[in-house]
Amino acid sequence: MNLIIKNEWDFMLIRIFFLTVTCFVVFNTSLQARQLTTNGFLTVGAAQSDAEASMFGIKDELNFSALSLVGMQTSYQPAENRLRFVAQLLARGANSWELEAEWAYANYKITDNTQAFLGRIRVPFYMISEQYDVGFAYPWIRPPDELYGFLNIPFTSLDGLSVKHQGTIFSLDYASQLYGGKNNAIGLDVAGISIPDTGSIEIYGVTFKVGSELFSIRAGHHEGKNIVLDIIQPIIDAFESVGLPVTAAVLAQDPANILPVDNGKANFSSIGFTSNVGNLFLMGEWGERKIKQQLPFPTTENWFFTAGYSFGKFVPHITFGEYSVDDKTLFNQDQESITLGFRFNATSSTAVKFEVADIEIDSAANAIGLYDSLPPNFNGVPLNITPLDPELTMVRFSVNTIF
Amino acid sequence: MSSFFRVFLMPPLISFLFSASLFAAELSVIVNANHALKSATAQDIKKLYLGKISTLSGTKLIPVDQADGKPVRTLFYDKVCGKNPNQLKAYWAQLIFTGGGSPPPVLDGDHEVISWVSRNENAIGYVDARMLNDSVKPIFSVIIK
Repeated sequence: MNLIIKNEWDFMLIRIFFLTVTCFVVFNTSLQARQLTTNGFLTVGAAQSDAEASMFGIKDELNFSALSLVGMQTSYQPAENRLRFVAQLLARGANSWELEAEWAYANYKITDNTQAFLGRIRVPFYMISEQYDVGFAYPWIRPPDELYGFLNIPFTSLDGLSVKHQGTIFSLDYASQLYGGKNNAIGLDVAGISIPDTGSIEIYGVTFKVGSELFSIRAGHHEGKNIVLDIIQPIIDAFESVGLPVTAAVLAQDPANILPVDNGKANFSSIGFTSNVGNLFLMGEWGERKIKQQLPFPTTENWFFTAGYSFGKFVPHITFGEYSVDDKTLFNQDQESITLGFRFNATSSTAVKFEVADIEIDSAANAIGLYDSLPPNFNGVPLNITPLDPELTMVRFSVNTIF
Repeated sequence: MSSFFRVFLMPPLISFLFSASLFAAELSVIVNANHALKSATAQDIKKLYLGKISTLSGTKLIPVDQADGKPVRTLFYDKVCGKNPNQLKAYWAQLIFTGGGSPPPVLDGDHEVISWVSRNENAIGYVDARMLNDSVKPIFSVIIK
């Protein structure tokens, strides 16, 4: 496994992480185990579809990297202290095992119910965004791609401040979060063109969750501004490579007018629920991504619904998902899926999961669904790309463990 | 048919009867003998152990746990918190890796728990009821019929 470090800031966080751990191991062997803790999670996955073109990095050959990942977290808390330091490093197979600092923060307990986090944190866009990589924590192999996929929101963390508050009201539990910060390393997949570290966004938002184990509801709203994306050249290159030199030349001449990518604004709203009645569980979530001002991305509306039942260690489930865009003239990304799967709790810390997904994209000539691809037809001109199957079946398998 | 019964049904039946008698013990949730608290509900104890609250009747309580795999732990989380070992791990995985807190520290066996709770005024633990002594105060019991 090759570990490649993504950018300088990550590199610095990773150096601090290893330095801290080394210091504790070398100088503080007498520390109580309680103060310094290390936990980790691992997903080993395999996936294959019956389509020639790839979707989420998966196509008609067996793929072992798209779903696989490993994460390590070290946390240090001086005894009897309200302050805690946490770093979580993650390497994803889908990202060539590049080492990323997903979380790296100082956590201060202001009161028993209120905590502040300063540093790098995950953006809490949706119900499962924060634990997205911890496969052991949820029933699927990964949270539904229609809502949680990289195409919908192309970044996962921010450097900034967050305050979390939890409590009880009318015997219901509630939790709220307020945060703000900046992400400087947005990586984009624009119609199959992968453009790493291409932009930045300032983002702030609020989430609120209330309920009980029987039924709980969560809502979130997030505002992004000063979005800057450096995607012109890769897109010009891509147009040339698929036989659209004229479009490429026009774009190259006046990029700002045709593909304005500065000072964008976006907002993200969502509402979701979870319900556990005996062995039955239900989950659903709806989200909307609105790009305001100029940026060449449509408004998306997406949702999923999952129902499952625990037969002891065996937990079968079914999920429906949909991704739709308002402006279908350039790229029509509309897509629907039905996924049947199960989770088998092999041990108290290991789960084995299997899923079969039936995915259908729109029938229009420029339909691409969530394929990692340009559309087969651009402004009426057929493009030279791998044909996209309108319907595909994807089979996924994983082993998830925590330690 | 009778040999089918003997081969396939008897062993689970016997092990079921044995395990039932093994688990007939009572489990007690305990606090320090000097703690003001006299009793607690299963719901309160569950919230303390799942990290949702940290005080009860205005006083701080810091839970200690028993080791993974111990029958008393499995029983406690099943009867008081309604979670099997896998669900409990998944619950904490969600929190540990998202800045949401960490599970209670683990002590090694009933003796250790009783000794810890008797020495720490804000501690709360759970033990096999047969191990109880005057240094700690039971505030909740689970009785398995």
